[in-house]
Amino acid sequence: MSRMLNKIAIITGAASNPGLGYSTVMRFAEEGAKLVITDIDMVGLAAVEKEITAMGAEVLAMEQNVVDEQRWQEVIDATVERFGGLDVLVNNAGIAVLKPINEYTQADYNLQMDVNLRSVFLGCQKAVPAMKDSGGGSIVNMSSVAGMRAMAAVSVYGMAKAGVQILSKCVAIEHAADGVRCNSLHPGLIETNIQNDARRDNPEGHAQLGTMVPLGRMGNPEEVANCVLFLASDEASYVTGAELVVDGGLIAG
Amino acid sequence: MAIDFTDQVVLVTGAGAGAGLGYSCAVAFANGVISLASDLSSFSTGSLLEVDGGWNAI
Repeated sequence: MSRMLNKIAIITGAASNPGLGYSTVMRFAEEGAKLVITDIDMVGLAAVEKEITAMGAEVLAMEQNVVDEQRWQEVIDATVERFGGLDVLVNNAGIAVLKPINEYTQADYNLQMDVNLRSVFLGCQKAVPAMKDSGGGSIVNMSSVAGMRAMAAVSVYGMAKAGVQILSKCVAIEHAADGVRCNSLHPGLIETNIQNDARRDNPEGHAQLGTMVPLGRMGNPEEVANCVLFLASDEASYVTGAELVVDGGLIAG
Repeated sequence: MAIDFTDQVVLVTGAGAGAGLGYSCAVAFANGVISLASDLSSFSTGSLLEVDGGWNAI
C-alpha cells in the first residue's frame, strides 16, 4: 500500500460501478492515495465514498458536471483546501453517443465533444497551476482505441478521443518544465456499465465482441485501473506525452 | 504494495552493466515494481510505451 501513499488525486466519473473511474478509485485507495472523487451521480458517488472510507482512505466526494468551467475551479480549490495540494488528476468522466454520421444532430455533436474533450481541456487547464504549486504532478486522460482507429458509428466519439490524445501530448510538452506529466490511456473493449447496456440491447452481437480481441475476451475495469495507477505513480516518472493502449491486442494488427 | 512476483520465473538479458537498463530491470523485479511485465498490465499486449521524457511527443 505504498505506490500512491499520500498522493492527492482527483478522479472524475467515479460513481459508475462497474466502470473505469470506480475501479481506479478502488486501486488508488488500496495504494494509499488521498482521494477527491467526482460525478454527476451523487447517489452512486455516495456509495463509492462509503466503500473507500471503510477501507481507511481519506476521501472528499463532490458533485461535478465536468463541462462546467467554474465547477472545475471549485473542485481544484476544495482539493487544495482539504488536502494541501494536488498530485494526480484522472480525467475519466465521459459518455458514448454512438450512431451513424447522418443521424447525428448538432446537439449530439456538442454533447459528445463537450463531455469527452472540452472537459478534459478544462481539467488540465485548471489542475496544472495546483500541481505546479505542489512541485509537479501527473495527469492521466482517458482516451480510447476509438481515437486511434476509425470505426463505424463511432465518428464523433472517436474525434473527441483523438483530441484527448493530442491534447495530452501538448500538455506534456508545455508543462514538462513544471514537473507535470501528462499521458493518455486507450482502453479497448472493457466490461463496464456501457457494455452492460449493449449486452442488454443486443446479447448475441455483444457475445461476439470478445472474439474480436486477440486475447479472446473483453477486459476488466481493474485491468485498466492498474495501468492508470502505473501512469499516475512515480514508477512512470520518465513517461510523459505517451499513450498506453490497454485493449488485449485489438488494434495491434 | 509491491507487485507479487512470487514463483514467477523471469529472464533478463543484458543484465550485467551496473548503469544499464537490464541491470535496472533486474533490480526492479527483485523489488517488485515492474508494471508492464506483471499481471497489472494483463489486458495490454501488442502496445508500445514510450519512456522518453516527452521527446517523441513533439
